[in-house]
Amino acid sequence: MEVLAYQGLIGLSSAMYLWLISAGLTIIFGVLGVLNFAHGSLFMLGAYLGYTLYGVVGLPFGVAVLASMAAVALLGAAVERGLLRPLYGLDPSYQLLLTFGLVLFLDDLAKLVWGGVFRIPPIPPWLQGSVVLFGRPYPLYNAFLMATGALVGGGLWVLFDRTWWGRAVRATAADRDMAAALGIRTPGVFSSVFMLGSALAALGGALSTPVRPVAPGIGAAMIVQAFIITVIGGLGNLRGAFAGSLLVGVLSSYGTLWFPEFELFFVFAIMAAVLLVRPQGLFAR
Amino acid sequence: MALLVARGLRKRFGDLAAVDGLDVQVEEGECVALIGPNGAGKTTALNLLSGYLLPDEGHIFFRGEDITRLPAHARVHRGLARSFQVMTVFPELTARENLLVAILAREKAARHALRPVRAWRQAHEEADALLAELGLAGCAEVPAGSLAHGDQRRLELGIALSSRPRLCLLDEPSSGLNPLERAGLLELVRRLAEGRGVTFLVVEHDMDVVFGLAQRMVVMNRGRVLAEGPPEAIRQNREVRETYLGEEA
Amino acid sequence: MNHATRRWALAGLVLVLVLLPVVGSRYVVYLTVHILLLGLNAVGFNLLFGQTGLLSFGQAGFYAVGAYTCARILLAWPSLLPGVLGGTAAAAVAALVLGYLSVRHTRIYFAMLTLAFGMMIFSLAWKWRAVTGGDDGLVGVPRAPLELLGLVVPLPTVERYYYVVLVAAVLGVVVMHRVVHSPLGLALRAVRDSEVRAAHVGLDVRSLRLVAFTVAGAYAGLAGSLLPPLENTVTPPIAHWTASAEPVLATLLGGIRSFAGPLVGAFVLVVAKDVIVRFTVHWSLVLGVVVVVLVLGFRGGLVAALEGLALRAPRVQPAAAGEEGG
Repeated sequence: MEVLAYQGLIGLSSAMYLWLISAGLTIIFGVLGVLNFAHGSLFMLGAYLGYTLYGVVGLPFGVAVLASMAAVALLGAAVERGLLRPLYGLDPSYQLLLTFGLVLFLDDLAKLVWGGVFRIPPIPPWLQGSVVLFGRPYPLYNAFLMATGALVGGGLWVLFDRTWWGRAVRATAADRDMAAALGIRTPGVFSSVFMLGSALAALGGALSTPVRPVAPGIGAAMIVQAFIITVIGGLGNLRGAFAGSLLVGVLSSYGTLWFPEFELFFVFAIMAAVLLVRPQGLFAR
Repeated sequence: MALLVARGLRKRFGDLAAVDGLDVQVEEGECVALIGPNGAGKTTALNLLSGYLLPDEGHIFFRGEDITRLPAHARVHRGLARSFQVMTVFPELTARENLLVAILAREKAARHALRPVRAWRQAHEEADALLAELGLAGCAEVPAGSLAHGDQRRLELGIALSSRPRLCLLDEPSSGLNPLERAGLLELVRRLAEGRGVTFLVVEHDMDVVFGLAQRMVVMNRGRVLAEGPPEAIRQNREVRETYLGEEA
Repeated sequence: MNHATRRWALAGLVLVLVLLPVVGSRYVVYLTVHILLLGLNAVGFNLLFGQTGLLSFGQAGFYAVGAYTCARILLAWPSLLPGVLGGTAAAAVAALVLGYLSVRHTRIYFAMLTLAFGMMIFSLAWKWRAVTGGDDGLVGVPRAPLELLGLVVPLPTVERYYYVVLVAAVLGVVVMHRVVHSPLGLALRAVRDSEVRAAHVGLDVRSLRLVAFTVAGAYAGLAGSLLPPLENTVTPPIAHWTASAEPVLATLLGGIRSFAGPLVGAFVLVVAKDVIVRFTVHWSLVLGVVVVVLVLGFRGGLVAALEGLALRAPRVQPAAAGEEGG
């Protein structure tokens, strides 16, 4: 029983990376209608930048994380304005293909700039150590991840439900033309939403650096996980993405415990099943 | 025996009952107009009859057969075709191909994968003859999406008739046309109907079109039939006048 | 380009392909095999994408089903034909089953579903050691002799094997050409243009999509099952979703609306990769830029762009005629 609970907690903390990346993915889909293949690459860039700024340059961890978020957000804005904007209104396949081209470009660019696999920088001193849970030591960093994930969730909720900007975004998502007629600058909304999503992906990436090795392939690995989660939660559904992240994080944690050989198969089977039986997502109201 | 009989059709979208206990009957050879104020459920009714939507309750009989749960393509093969309110042609196919695909589908030829389309000579002749009748002979090779609006409307009518239907449902065939084109389309429908013995059920907003075309009218309101009868009787009907005038006032 | 020029260009192309092992180096022949395999895969994929309007991100899965099945057959029974036919059939069956489920959706949901199915196949290839050899893959797959009508043709060299692949590719392309110009092809384009209208002229949209999906899967499987005899091994990366992008990119590069597009695209993609790799390992960096530029500026692909040039300057001999029609 304790093993189960403990394994669940481990799953919950890795669910936080998934949550950060899927939150951005699902917001962008919900508002812009774009399924961004390159979102995993933004996660990867966040990880590389975080690694460089914290592990190599030696900036304080928090500063490094915020700086990589800002940099990736700017990149996101450039992508949205320069590359995606001409494609709105065309068959969505072209948006998929464009962002796929970006995956190829960004992943290879990372290889060019940073080379192969890296050492993991140490966990910042103030996040080292562990707490005892279910009779076992539980790393403090994992607890920090969970707290951050919860904080982001709360922050997004406030942002979308309690601010003028959030209302503008929701209006744009519901009906672009109507929102524009009401005087909302929808192109600005699109850009800011894309920036926010990119920054969240970068946050996930940067936070992963002290515990997971950074490598060019992590973007491709993360994006399929994020696809699975956003599909399970319902494309464009933020709450669903949160619940989906917890579900996939915890399930794959148990999956590794019980079916180490077929964990991957297992999560994709769930994704396919949801798409077939309930394409609006498990958590749609 | 009536060509089409619908009994107690119901369709809900969330809390809204778009069609709420609809009973309609269409006899072979007549031209029936389905009218009613906005939101009366006319288009939903057509969608239920054509198989684009399935009803929550009720039954549809076509030539005596219960077709309530049949998919749209199977209804077409039984002789029930339709056109759409928002114009629906195959934009990247040429005008001729638009008709050919309907003709070949009717002949159940779409499963042939290794013989070229041009081997179906009769289908080509039929398509070209119909194009001429529609006044589109000059545009046979033009992608349908590049045709003028009025031409696309006529082409869509042609697509529906290429299925050789017994009953053809038309959803606002004149929408988006100017008065002159509207009169032309009206005339075309009448001529095509006579030549082919097709029965029409037409949803229409334009009262000139309606009164010029229909022998019988069915007035819908709030998802069910409010009144039916010949055009003159409908014109005099107090309930109908109230519904319309009440709406428009 | 008129009919006669096209005929001549086509005849010239076939002649070049037949004489290639005589005039070209072994490396050129090897590269051409890869062009033909990708071309077959892309031609099948374009029936799904360009003709039927469905973007699949799971073609690598069917490619892998073909490759692994063929490899297992050849390891047990070293005869080429049963291997290739078995691989193709297995991929077609897999596509039929998964397609039955996938074609309920279109657009993004369809793409996601095919991605999920493709990755399920990938995870099997990667983890089901007993059957697939896990991450080591299957090694020592023989380039088994071709046994046909009592005739046994050994295939010791890449040059000989090239002819097997060439025959398969030409057959595949000819069959696809017929399919595209048949009533079935017309019906698929009608489904692509307007699903609703297609259903209301009496076309069974789901069945048509399933047919396209199955044929595309069979083409991917045929290409895949021709791979292990060439390389003598099969490994899991061929099943990964990033590999699914290859036929997609080839098709996009050549042009989705022309029959020769996927073939031209496969040619350009394989050759460009080969050339660029000589200068830099960062091949996908370049490819990524190419994709972005194509999507933004040349959605018709190379064939349409060249035809546009040819239209503007009708006197110029069309240089790309060689790849046309194939």
